[in-house]
Amino acid sequence: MEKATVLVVGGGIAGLTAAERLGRAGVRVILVEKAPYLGGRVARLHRFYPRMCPPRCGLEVLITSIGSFPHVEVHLLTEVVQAQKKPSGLHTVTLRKKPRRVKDACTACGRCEEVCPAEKTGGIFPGQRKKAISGSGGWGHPAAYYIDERFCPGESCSLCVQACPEGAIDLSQQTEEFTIDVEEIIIAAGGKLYDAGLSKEYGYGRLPGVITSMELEVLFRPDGPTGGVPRNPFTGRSLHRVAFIQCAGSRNNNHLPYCSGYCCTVTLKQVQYLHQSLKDIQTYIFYQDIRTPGKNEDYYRFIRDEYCPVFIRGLPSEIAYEAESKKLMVKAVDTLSRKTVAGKFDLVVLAAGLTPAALPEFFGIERDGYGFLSGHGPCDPTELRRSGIWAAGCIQGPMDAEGSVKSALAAAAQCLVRLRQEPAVSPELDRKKCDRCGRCAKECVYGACVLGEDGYPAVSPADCRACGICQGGCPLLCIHLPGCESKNIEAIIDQARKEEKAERTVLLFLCKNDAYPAWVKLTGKENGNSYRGIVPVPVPCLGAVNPAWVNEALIGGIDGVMMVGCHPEQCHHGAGAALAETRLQNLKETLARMYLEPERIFLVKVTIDDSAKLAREIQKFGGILARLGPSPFR
Amino acid sequence: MHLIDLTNLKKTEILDPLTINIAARCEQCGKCGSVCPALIRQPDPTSLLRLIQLGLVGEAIDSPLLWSCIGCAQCNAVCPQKLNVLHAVRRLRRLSARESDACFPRILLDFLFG
Repeated sequence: MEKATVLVVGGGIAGLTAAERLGRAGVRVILVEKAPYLGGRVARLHRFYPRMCPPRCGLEVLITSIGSFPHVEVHLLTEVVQAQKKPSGLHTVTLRKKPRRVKDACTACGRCEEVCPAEKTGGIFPGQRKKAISGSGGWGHPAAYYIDERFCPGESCSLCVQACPEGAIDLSQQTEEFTIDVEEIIIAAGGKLYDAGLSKEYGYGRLPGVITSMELEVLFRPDGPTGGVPRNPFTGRSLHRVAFIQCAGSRNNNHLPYCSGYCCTVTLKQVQYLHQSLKDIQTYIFYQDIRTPGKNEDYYRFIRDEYCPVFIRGLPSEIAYEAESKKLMVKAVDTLSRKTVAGKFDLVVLAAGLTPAALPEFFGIERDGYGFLSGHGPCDPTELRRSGIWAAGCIQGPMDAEGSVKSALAAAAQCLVRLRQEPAVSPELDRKKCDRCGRCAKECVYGACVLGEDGYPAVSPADCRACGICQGGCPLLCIHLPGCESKNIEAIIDQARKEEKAERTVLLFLCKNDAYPAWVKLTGKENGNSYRGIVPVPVPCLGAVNPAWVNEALIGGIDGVMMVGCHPEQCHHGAGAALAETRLQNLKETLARMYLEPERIFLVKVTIDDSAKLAREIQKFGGILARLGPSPFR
Repeated sequence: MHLIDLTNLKKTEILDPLTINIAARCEQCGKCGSVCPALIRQPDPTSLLRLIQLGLVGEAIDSPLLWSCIGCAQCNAVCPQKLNVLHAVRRLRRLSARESDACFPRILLDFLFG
């Protein structure tokens, strides 16, 4: 296979999986990660559910494999600044690489951390601080330390340089920016936990002993700050009663309205951690609904039967700290028994939901209402309507590690498909007619049509999906899809006009995806005789119908034009049906000014299986046309 | 309002392991509560199991349902978790009769003899 370049944004489990698979397939890959270490949030976990295996085992395999490919480049501390598409179909991406200031010679001995005088926030637990030079805190790839340039006093201090036995510290490194050209981009930027401190009633960041489930993971890790013995990270006291609060900020209209889907199973996993590592332990789960989809239900039953955590169906309204006993008071209403319950706990764990990571806007990608790149589900969840750009992992929506890996594999497969596929039939431009208005590039839903430096649009064939929306919008009819071009339409109109036997002639534009099969089914059943005078014209999408055609048809003596497409929210190409509706509305206004009845244009939305509705609508339109009489231009 | 102390759920000790297990595995779906033909369902079997889940065994032992139950075992038949709900009711009834001040519940006497 020809060596192509794919940019993978994000070095979490999704990004690593995608990069490794593409690397195996021989594709040249550039992987960028914002953080100083690879692995993302998965690297901080203690165990995966339901097999309870250590996540770092899988990460180690991926990273080792990636390291063995000379054609896979990894850039840490690197962010995407800007991405632009060129007419050739390549993406020009500007990257900014922050300095690590520690060279690979670092052995992670930790002597620099001991002498470093600069502190910063961002320790493992809320309110904790750490040194400006620090390691990954256990397992980390790479092992080398990292200096946070925002807090380091720089060469005026240089204590770490003197302390380092390997001479690995180089304080002169600076931020650099560079530009690369890539064919495809996989966005695996992941998500970030919803800030639990925003749910003020739970006192995260204020009360000692309130942590998030992500932070609880660290307490069990043998290489974590407590050496794998769970205790209250603030007071150091042992744990006997631990409360879990589900939906901390999720399914809540003041915070995140959606369910993150994995937190319930995570809590059950952590109940298992606690009972396995401590003898005198009781666990309590405050919940709205336990949502363990699919096979995770088995895990829920197992935990419930094995460890008998107390399930309280009701969320607490407040958590209070009792200074005397150094415990947290949690009060809630158990909605199953309608009784108020209260208890004192050593640790309260908040199951915070997931939000999408911040991404530069210039990818020009549609996001869903919550900011995720959820794709065109269910048919094509990796489809972002930006050809050559795919999403993987938590940027698509909250998901667990298994889901992330699955979506990364899907994105990698899509990359390979695009590299190998035969290009679709793409539109051709009549450069003599084009006045470079740029409307086609603006309306192209796939971002395949791009204005070149000379101002003329260019379509990269690998990215075009032949929807024809560009030809539908072109005011000068100078861009057209082969096989569905203006000349054919003129011929069809001429043909239709010759059908003089019919009482009236109607042009019927049908979306090839849904409306045309419905029409075929309809006429096949009733042998088409009752539809004499109707000339069907299949188009790739209603968006491909140029209003000028409709205009021409009506002026040329056709009695009526019927447009049959999908419901706008179901349009295969996203914007096609909606664009057609707007364009027709404009045309109707023009027609009204020309004293031609706007009712002669009839827009219908049908689904592929609704031939009956199509028949009814044709009847209805027939009635309207009978009332209006024959076309004045006939 | 009576406040239940969650951190002191030790009153279940007088119950047998099977009853505790039945209560622990109950999903509170409410099927037994809706199928129960007992005339006085105070509380219904679902809520009775919830009381045990919350450690309120005393309240469960005092409940009139125990004496209204006719032992038809429809609760067992409908339970999606295949739990022996009737066993829990019978066991509680036995415990109730064993109390030193046990007597036929007032509510039932009123119901039967006006």
